[in-house]
Amino acid sequence: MISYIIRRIVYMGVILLVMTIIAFVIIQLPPGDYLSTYVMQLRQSGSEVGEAEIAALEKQYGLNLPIYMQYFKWMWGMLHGNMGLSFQWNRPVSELLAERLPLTFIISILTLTFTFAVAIPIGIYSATHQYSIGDYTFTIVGFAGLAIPNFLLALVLMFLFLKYFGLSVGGLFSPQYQEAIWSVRKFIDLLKHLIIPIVVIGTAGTAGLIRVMRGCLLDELQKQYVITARAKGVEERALLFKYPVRMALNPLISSIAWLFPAIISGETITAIVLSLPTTGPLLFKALKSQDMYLAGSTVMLLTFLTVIGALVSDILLLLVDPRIRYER
Amino acid sequence: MLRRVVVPILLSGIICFLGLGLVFAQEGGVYSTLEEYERITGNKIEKFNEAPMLKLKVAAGELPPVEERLPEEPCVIEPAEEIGQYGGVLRGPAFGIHQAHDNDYARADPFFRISYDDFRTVVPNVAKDWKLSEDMKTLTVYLRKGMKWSDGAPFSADDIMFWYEDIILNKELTPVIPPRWSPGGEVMKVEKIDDYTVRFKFAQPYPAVVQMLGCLDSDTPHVFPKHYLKKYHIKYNPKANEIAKEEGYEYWWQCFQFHSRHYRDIADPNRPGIFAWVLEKITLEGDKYFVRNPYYWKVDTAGNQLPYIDKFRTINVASGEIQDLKLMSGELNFAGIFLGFEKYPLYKKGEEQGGYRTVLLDGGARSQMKLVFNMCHNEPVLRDIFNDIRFRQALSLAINREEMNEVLFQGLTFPWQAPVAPGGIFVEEWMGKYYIEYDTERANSLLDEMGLEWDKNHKYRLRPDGKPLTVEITFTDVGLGWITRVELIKEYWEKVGVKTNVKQVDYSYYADSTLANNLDFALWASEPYGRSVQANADLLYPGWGNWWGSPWKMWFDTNGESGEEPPEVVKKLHELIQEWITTQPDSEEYLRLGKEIFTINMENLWTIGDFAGGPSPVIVPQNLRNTAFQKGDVYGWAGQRFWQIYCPQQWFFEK
Repeated sequence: MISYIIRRIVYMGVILLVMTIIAFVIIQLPPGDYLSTYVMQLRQSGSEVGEAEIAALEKQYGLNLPIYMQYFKWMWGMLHGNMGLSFQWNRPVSELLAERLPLTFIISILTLTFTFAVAIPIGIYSATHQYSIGDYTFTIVGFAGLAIPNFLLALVLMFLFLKYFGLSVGGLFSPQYQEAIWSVRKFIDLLKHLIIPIVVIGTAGTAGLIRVMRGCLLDELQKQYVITARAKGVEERALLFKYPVRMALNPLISSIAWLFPAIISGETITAIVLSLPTTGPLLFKALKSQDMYLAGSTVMLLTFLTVIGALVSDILLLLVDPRIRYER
Repeated sequence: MLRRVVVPILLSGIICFLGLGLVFAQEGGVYSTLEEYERITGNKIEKFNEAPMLKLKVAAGELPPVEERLPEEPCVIEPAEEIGQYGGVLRGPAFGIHQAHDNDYARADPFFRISYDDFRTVVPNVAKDWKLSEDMKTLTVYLRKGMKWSDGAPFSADDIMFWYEDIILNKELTPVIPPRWSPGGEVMKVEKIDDYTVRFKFAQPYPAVVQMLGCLDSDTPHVFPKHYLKKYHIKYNPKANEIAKEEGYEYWWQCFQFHSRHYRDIADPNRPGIFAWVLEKITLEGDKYFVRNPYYWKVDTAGNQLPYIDKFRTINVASGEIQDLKLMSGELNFAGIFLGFEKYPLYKKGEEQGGYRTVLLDGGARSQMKLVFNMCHNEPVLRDIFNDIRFRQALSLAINREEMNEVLFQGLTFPWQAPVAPGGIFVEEWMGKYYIEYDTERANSLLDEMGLEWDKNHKYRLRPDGKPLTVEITFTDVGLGWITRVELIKEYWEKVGVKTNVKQVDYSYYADSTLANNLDFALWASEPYGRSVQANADLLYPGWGNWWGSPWKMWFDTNGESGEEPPEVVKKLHELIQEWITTQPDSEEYLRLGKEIFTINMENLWTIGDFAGGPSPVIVPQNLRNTAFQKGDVYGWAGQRFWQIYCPQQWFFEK
């Protein structure tokens, strides 16, 4: 097991290195760079910018170097824990990310919990009560949740919360608590504001998970070992949770790999609509204005979380499912 | 939806220079100094008063008394309606750090100011007076004696010199010296005469500088506190690079820029300011809290230190929908820039719940969209077609402006040709009506005359080389609902056989294509007069919008060495403009040349527009007084510096 993990970590390093190159190149692909946007803005606001000045700006931003030199400069910084400077914010990238990560993690983890807490029981219910009224209801609700765009759901929910509960929209706190020191009430206010994002981000994921859970469980339920166990008189409930459910969880566990990066970027559109200070909107804006160190570093972080996620899910699968071997 | 970045920079308004013909009845007035107020009105201000929140601080010994905080020569403001009461919080939206927003404009204090009596005259503000020399090459500026930064440190000529010597002339901080500081291609000189007098010297007559200093609020001489910023500057602190490293920057100038920011991107709450409200803190969500500047240098006619309003909040909203919801829930109570007329009924309906009132102003330049033909098109066939004036006339005649007005603005605007705006001093009636009638017959006959034959099915016209005649309107969304207008124009043009493609692109793509001269048209809001036409005369060249990527411009810039030689009429226009920018505003020469420049622009129809004068809503708190909006006030005067005209320091919440 240990050697397996070590081997995986070595592969991870290689993948990360390749990814840095791909990310850096892709960010540079669109026409123009941060400077062309900036120069255009200067000109539209009435500043004349000549060739000599553009060259000076390029030098200042380090954009005059060939692309591989820019890459090495960035990597050199990364190795020393310096992610570079964001052009548009004129602030260190690490600072910008650090400000947003705690809230991003809180929202994502709460959302994940919500998703699992809702999806797994419903999936089990739907599978065991296939084609019942309950199954159909959950299916319809689930599909609706999957089909409604998140931003739309967010807007509708915000309007309803405003209209019927008088809750302030967007952000994390109501105006009266924004300046208040931490108290139970302020905490409750925060929780109220977190309901919408969690429900909105959660619904889409929930629908998918319900379907996966239901499908897998249905497969398992028809298998011989279940019939045998039932014939031997194992109590229905114990039987269900001890064998088929555990088997059906396998695909869910392997999906953890892509849940990790989703923690950072999954809620981008919703977060923009809800004005949440998370990393999603930051990445979005960075990509739009070709703020390459900010975008690159965020993409790196995503990649890192993906490979870590893959490792974690593989280890979990090993633990849960003894049929899987360490060796190839 | 999110790309609202540029409008604010661009939508400089219309009435700069052109206020004539519009009457702005205003009660209030501004007196440059206490002495001037007492001399003119005969009234005396015996005693100064201050806000309750400052009284507490004085009582606690945290602040010196108000008499010591005010300069010896405070500016006196006569309120627009009545003497106000202290208190209240103004909460406006922000769409990210790079976009201008209402609070910024309302909060800022330019060096001089545009008077709200006529929206046109330049009056003293931060500087108490100035003098432009006879030859218009020297500007002497007088500062207020005893004026202080918000931390109590004196504000003097040294701060202006710091800006000039250590920021403008510093290669790292200012790699590109803006042309406004180098008229005639030579960087201006600034000298300190004494603690309260500075002198600006220019290489050529530069009359526009006065108006510019009256509008400019970001890169302006009076906002950099030397005593605070010098520790981040390598010249004053050899260890500046180490401070920068500690704060996570590579070089000192990056760190310096971070701390010196003072406007929409202000980031350091410790940085002293000169405006009426200074940054107190920034929340996790990026909302900014501003609080009154205890050393603010304006008083009302009763001796009350301004501002009346205690606090400003700038709340991040990220999308127009959130802004609207927050307005209706009362979380925001102040907005303007990002309100669309199409949502006017919604705003009206939400007034009671939100506790605000909605005022409809004339949308001015905001409502005008213009299409600029690319006269130096990369493709020779299209270039020949575009350069034929009959083609430009035909495309203008093909647009049914009345119908657009009805469909999109309920008939509230009026058809008007770009690039001139109604009401200007150079503008004659015929200019706005030049080729704006809807006449497909004439358009068709003009196109026929040009030899642009119809294809077999009589659907589209063919170019001389036999290919179908196709043009593309490329634009970027700036939140003014252009897409519907462009779609209608496409329909109209296709009716006369010009196949039109519409392409909405991201701003950076648009910027890049413009610079590379790759567009058929530039599409932008009309801005014929900039923040100061003389200071921004590029606007008057053919195809402002395409101009920067144009080989014609390069020809002028390089004295004919590269680029392409423009036709005679453009060369003549160039000469006229170069002469005009050195003339004294409102002088005979200025008017004569200006009129000629405008006439050339109109007659050549390098630019076509749709209409002007659409209404534009603004929202202020229900009980906000002294706002003094008048019917016919034009929104977006000289950019959204608009709010400054109404002097927000004397607004107050009626209790």
